[in-house]
Amino acid sequence: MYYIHRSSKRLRDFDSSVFQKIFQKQQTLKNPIDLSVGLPEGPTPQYIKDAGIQAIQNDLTEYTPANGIPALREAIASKLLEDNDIAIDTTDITIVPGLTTGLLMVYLAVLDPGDEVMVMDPSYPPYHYLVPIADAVLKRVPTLPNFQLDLEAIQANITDKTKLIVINTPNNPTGAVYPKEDLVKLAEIAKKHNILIISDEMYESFIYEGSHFSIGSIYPNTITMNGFSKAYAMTGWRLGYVTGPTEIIKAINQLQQYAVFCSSSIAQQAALAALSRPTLPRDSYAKKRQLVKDSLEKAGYDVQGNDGAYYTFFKTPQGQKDIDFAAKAADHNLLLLPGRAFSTEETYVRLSYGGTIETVQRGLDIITEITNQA
Amino acid sequence: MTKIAIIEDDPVINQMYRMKFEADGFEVQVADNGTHGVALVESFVPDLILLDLQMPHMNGAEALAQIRSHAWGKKIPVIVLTNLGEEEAPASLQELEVHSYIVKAEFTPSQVVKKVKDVLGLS
Repeated sequence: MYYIHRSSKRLRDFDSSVFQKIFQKQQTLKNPIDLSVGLPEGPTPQYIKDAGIQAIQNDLTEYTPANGIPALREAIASKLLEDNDIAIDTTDITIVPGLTTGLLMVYLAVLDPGDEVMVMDPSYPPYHYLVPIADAVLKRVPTLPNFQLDLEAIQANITDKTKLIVINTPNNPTGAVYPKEDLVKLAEIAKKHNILIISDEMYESFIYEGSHFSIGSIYPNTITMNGFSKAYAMTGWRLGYVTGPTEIIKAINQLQQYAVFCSSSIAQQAALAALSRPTLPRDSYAKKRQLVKDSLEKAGYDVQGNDGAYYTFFKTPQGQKDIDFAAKAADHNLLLLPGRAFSTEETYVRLSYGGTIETVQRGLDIITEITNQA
Repeated sequence: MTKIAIIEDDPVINQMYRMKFEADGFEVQVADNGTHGVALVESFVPDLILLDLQMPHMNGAEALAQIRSHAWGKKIPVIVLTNLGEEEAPASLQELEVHSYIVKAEFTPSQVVKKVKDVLGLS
């Protein structure tokens, strides 16, 4: 008789991701209108694919340094200086196999048991789900109803155990873009209390109102994270980068050495090619963003955020539970993400307009239809 | 530690520059109008002044005239922050030994720091 081993206590109560549930639901629908998953429009550009193929043909398929190939780190350093006003040495950049893995490594590199991590609510699920993995304590700070930083609430939640504040602008799932003045004030607060900031800037190239400001440009205790998934439509290549204080990057590199060894050499060559050209124009996203805003407002919704990324996070009609509203949409062959994946609030859903304008229009028609039925 | 005085009424700009300069190891004090700026320069005696022109109470040109009228303010290098460029500056500034002009919208905070380091010979 064998004892059947269970998973670790750490993972036993780990909620299976709402994303996985959506993927399962997707399997049961025939050609669903998918406004749930955060995929950008179109495939990886050809010149990037060619660089990946060329890397294979040229046998650039071996291990790389744990922190990535020097040429890519140099290209990222140039990009950070030019686009983000972050002057950083190439040794203070590390390449990671996707930002979600990068986030876990940052948490493991900086958090001690009992440290508190302040996360905005709503926000990208790994920010909160990965906190207990590092034996740290999650503190959610609401940004409802306008999805902007509540600096007073942030201030009020700071304790002597606060180690990290995680921000994401433009924001997933709300599309909110944090203005420069709020980020400057946040930097002052963080400096006063000696708190590290994680700034996830994955959607920096998707802004339709306002402009992007990198808090790392004025506050050196910032860990700036970015990647290639959204800006260059490379979600499946799994590649991102992390910059920040030297000692933290060194710690992440040590962890990488044993946890992942290195990121894909092929993806790194493709990313190097990606950075040689600007990101694609966002005209089609701007049109879709306006379409979403107009259609939802016409259907009676109050649209907040929606200034960047390609998401809109809206409140369900008559306080319906997010899962009920998403289920009703799925009954009409439309996939939306229930807001509880991102928030303790259970009356919001996330709509992604990364797909074609025709798909987005069909999805909006269904939302209008089920709203009128409510 | 090298000392910088920022005299600028836009709180976002003056705090942004302050954070940036402090991150680069400078000691920084800010004033939000010309009157406060003159008092700040007298008490703080900075190595360089970043001076906005359009400000309430006392504008940048008037503030600089006062600073230059005192022994403690005669030799301090001044970089003027403008919205349009040198043409925005009143003629009176030409007599007050402005080192150079920075159009705010055209300079990132890093470039402003670099400019200051160049002026002070710290590069």
